[in-house]
Amino acid sequence: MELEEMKNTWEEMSKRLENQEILTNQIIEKMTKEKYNSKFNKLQFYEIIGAVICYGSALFLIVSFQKLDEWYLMVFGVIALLSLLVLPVLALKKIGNMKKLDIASNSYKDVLIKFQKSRNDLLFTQKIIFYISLVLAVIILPVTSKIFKNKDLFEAENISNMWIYIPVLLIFLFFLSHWVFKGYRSATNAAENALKDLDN
Amino acid sequence: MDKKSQFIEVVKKNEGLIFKVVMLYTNSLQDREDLYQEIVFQLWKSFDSFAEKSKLSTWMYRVAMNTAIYSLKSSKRKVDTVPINLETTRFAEVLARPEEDRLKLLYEHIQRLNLLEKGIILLFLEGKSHKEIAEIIGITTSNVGTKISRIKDKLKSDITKK
Repeated sequence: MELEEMKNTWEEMSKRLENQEILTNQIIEKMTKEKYNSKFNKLQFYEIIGAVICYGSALFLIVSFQKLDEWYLMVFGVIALLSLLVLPVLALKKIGNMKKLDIASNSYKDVLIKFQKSRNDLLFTQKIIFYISLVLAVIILPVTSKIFKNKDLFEAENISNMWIYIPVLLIFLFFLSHWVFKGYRSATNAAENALKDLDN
Repeated sequence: MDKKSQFIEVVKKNEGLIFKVVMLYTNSLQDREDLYQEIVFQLWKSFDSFAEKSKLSTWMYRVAMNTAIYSLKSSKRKVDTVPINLETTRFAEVLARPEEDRLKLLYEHIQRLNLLEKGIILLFLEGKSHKEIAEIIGITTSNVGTKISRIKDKLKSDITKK
């Protein structure tokens, strides 16, 4: 299909569309009011729930910290505590950055560039969050086992549980990471191809 | 006329514009409804800042196309849409078109272009001048001409391959 032929087809469709009235006043009004429709607001809502859970767990850990009576359990407790405090900050920051973009005053080219940059930042943050979660997942079991059951998993009679738990966890995290990063890459690639073209 | 009524009138007058942007940047009915709503929402959010600094159509294309980039699927995570109740059916029916072969072919060709080319070709097909395309896209007027002739070549080779 030649460009001119495309233009004729497009004009025909445009003429047809002129006579269409899809939206009613009520629908438009709803679209302007329902703020939670915005993808970022929705994502932020989930991240806030996650943050509340993390901070709640951190508070619980602080209150129960005296139950961790061995030095290694204390070290794990501190690492878990720091992870629980840092994770929500990282997650909320990444969404905040994406929301800052002024869609109305930036050109299409600028939005493409910023979109690409924010996607890269997002991927980077996502990776950091993933690795912190990995550490957290490994150390949280001995810590919670001690707090809830007063059982030290590193004592000789309990250590076998750890040898089952860790490989299962690693396999699970491997598939989880694959799933998490796949989606980000495809959208980033779409913007990347267009940006390469900008330089030519 | 109050601000809201003014906005509603502007959107109703330009439904076709939003529709065409939505069609070019999405592949499924659900994505179309999501993007349509997101564009109207973003237009409303920036309605104050518009203040007739640029042409109405320039502002609308800019917001609609920029929103489309930002709404590109980043993952398969599903985000619920605002329910438009019974009217959704009517909305979906129109969005389910076009069934015409030529139009389908046109969309197929455009879907193969990259995001920058897609933006340029949309404005070209809408009959925008090189100057206006340059203003919306953010490149020079001469660059617009170069890009359009490249897109022409790309489309030609696309047909030859077929």
